[in-house]
Amino acid sequence: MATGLNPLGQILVALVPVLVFLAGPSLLDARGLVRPGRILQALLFGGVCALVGYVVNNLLLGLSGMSLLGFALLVAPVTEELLKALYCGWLVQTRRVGFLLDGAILGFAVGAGFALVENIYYLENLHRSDLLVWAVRGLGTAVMHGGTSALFTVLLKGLSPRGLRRRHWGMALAAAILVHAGFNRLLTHPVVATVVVLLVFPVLMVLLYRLGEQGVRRWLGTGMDRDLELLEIIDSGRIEQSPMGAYLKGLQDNFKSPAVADMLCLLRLQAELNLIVRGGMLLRENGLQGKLPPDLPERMAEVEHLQDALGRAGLLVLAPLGRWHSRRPWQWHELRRWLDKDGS
Amino acid sequence: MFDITRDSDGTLVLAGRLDAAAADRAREALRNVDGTCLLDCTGLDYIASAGLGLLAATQRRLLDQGGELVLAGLNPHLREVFRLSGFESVFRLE
Repeated sequence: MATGLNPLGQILVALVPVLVFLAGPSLLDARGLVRPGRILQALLFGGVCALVGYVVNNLLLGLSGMSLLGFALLVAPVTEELLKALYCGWLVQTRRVGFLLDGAILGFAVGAGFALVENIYYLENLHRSDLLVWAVRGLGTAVMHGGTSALFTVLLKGLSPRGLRRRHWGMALAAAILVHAGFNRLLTHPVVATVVVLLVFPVLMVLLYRLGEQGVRRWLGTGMDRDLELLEIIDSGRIEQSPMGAYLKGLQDNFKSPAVADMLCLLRLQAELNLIVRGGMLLRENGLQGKLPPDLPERMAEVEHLQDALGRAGLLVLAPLGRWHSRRPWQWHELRRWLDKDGS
Repeated sequence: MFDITRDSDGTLVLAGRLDAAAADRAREALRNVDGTCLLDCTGLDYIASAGLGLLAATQRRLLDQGGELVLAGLNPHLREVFRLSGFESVFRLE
């Protein structure tokens, strides 16, 4: 098959599918989990990774004396996935990713950025111009890079609900490297590679999306209900009859009364902040835009003050009552982002 | 226990707890609403995420048609929930 492509055709086949694949999940993000600036940042980082990867791979290829195929199977997947994992891992480590869903979108964006730059390089240097070559190079590689980075980010996020460990990095990275190496192995059979990529990766992305969507829905549903019930119990004055009241009463043996009062204030404030984030997402999901409470900065400052006052021990005993800890840093990023947007 | 009835003047009267179990009943009643509709929430004690989501979806639909939901008689606790969640700014509260 030697369907000649003019330079414009090559550019379209090489670059446009990447952006289309990236636009898909982003357009489905009705709740605004991922802001456009963050996607652009991820694309840029991916592009920089491709440039660094090019230099590192060339260096390692020269030093190792390996064949091109051997290098593509054993070394390139490791260097490239490691580089992309730096940004994706940073997003997860610093809790800038709250769910599997935004992790999948941002991970895919990093891979898309990588593939965009890589494809520009191949546009310059690959002189065969038939459609098949560009379908594999342009579309196949882009989907593979996006898919492996999304897979890495989702695995890392999913494996570490209570904090990242080294083994989580190892497992997520190993999965991404294996998939990448498998794709490179197929590059000697371009038709098979294209078919496999076009069949497997969209299915993988849909699965990741569905999994992520379930997580967000659960967080919005049962999580919000927990906050609403907590606020209702506190507002109704029935707290002493509730299990939470009994638990707090039990703490008075080990903590001074003002500290227990601070704990109750913190529980209430945190439930309120949760409600602000969840309510905002629920409205956006329905195409509506709510306003932030004007006293939000004061509430956030009060939460930080109470957390400092209670210390690590106080927060640990509160852990069974407030299950916000794993997403708290992410919520904090979200609230600050909304405040910035509101103020601008 | 949740109850939703329609007055002779078209006002929908909500009472009890609008939680996930009651959301289907409320959805059925709100599906037939068009134009601007008053929801009398004087007897409403509690609203869960399913209820909030339902109100948001209905408001979106009615706004697109040039109408809206107007909520009256929210108790202080529910008013606070609406204020915090941002719902206060997308609904007319009386």
